[in-house]
Formats: sequence, C-alpha cells, structure tokens
Amino acid sequence: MSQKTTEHYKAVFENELLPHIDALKTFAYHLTYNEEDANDLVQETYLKAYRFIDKYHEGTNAKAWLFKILKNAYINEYRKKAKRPAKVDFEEIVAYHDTDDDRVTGYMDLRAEIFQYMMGDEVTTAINALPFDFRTVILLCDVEGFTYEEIAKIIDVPIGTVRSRLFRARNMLKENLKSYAETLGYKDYRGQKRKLRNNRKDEEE
Amino acid sequence: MKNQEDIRNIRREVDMFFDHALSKEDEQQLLARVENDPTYHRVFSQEKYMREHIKRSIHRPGVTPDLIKAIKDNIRMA
Repeated sequence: MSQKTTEHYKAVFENELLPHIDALKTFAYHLTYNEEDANDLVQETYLKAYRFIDKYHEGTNAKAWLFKILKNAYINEYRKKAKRPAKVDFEEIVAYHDTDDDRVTGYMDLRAEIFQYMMGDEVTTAINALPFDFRTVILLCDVEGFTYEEIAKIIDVPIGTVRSRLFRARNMLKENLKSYAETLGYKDYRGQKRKLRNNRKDEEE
Repeated sequence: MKNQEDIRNIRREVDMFFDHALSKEDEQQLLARVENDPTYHRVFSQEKYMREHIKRSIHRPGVTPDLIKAIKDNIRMA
C-alpha cells in the first residue's frame, strides 16, 4: 500500500469487497465441504485481498478478483488437508483431455418431472460429488453467474476449456441427479416403446 | 424431424443463452424460435427448470456477524 491513505483503502475494502462475502462463503463451503474451513478460507481471502488492495483497480470486477484469490488460496493450502480424499488421478486425466470440442459426448437430457423426486439437499450433494475442476465451473457459472471470460480469468484456463468443462460438468451433474431420483423411484421410460417394437420385430424375424 | 446433430446444436445454443454468451440479436432470434418451434421450446424449458432448480436448491451456509467482525479486526490490525 502506497500513495493512497489507509483510510481510503479501508473504505474501498468495506464498500467494494465486503459486499461479496455471502457469495464467497457459498463457494468456499462447496470447495471445503465444511463450514469451519469455509470460514477460515473466506477470512484468509479477505486478508490477502487487503494485503494487495493497491493492486485492485477500484470500480472494476471486485467479485471476480476475490473469487480468484479464494480459488488460489484453496488450491495452495486447503486442498492438501481436505477431509475428503481428492480424486487427483481422475482430475488429472480429465484435465489432460480438456478440449474445446464439446461434441465428443452427447448431451445428457433431464426431464423436468425428475425434480418431483427431489427433496432439497440432492443438488448440493450432486455438486459436491463432482471433481474439483468441474465443481468449480458449475459454481462459478450456474450459481454465481460469471461469464465464460470471467471464469477463464479466475481459473486460469482458455475460454474453450471453460466451455468444455461446463459441458461435461453439466452432464455429470445431470447423471448424478438422475441416479439420485432413480433411487427414490423415478423411472425414465423414454425409448421404451421403440425398444419394445424392435424386440417384437426381432422375434418375428 | 430434427436429427441428433440438430438437437445438439439447439442445446448448445440454449446453454449459451443461459450463460449470457449470445449477442442481443442472437438472444432475440433464439427466443423467437422457442416460441414457434416445439423442440426449441422443450430444450429451453428443461434447461431453464434445471438452472432455476440448482440456484434455488444449493446450500448457502450464510455468514455470521462473528466472521465479519473477525475479518474487520484483522484488517484493523494489518
């Protein structure tokens, strides 16, 4: 911190950075899986932000800047001591196969009626079950509403990678939600008539 | 009758709409197709419902006054 006064920076901190605390806490909670670590991570994020506040351009995207600091703090410190085992091998394989092309696999289709089988916690459970790279893009895009460009800057990857990760993450999330609904009695009958018709045809031949 | 590739392209377009990645003009065109084309309408409705469900249902733990106080105390000392 240099030219500007400490009072000035404290005002910027209070008016531009602190208002994002709720969103940061939600993000931190879904990275760490527990409230205590999430609080520590949010606190550490704000301390780091204040330490480097002279690097922040007032009136610009404070939220994206804070999310980037939090994501880096998590990777550098918290991920090592995460209570759940990290799916490192899988994530490394996935990162290796990140491409700009989202045509490699089909879209997972989820019918609206599936949500009748859901009671409330399953979205959180399904998101938390995603590997880190995929969980992060879903939280940043679908929960916080960041643009592809902002996400690319927060997680330090090209925009094409953001898009392909989102595509895969959404498919995985839908698979998780579908499996959850099936355990509660949901059945997807799509394609059944065609299957039955084909079976009859085979029998006749 | 739309084939798999057509539907995949519609889904990609719908994803981009909800991700605010379409231009204003493309957004308007997509909304017009949603009005008039049943496949667009179905894909759009499913995605809209899914996104709203995620936003509505995700656990948001909330921030306690103690956390804000701890952060402000640390800043004061910094």
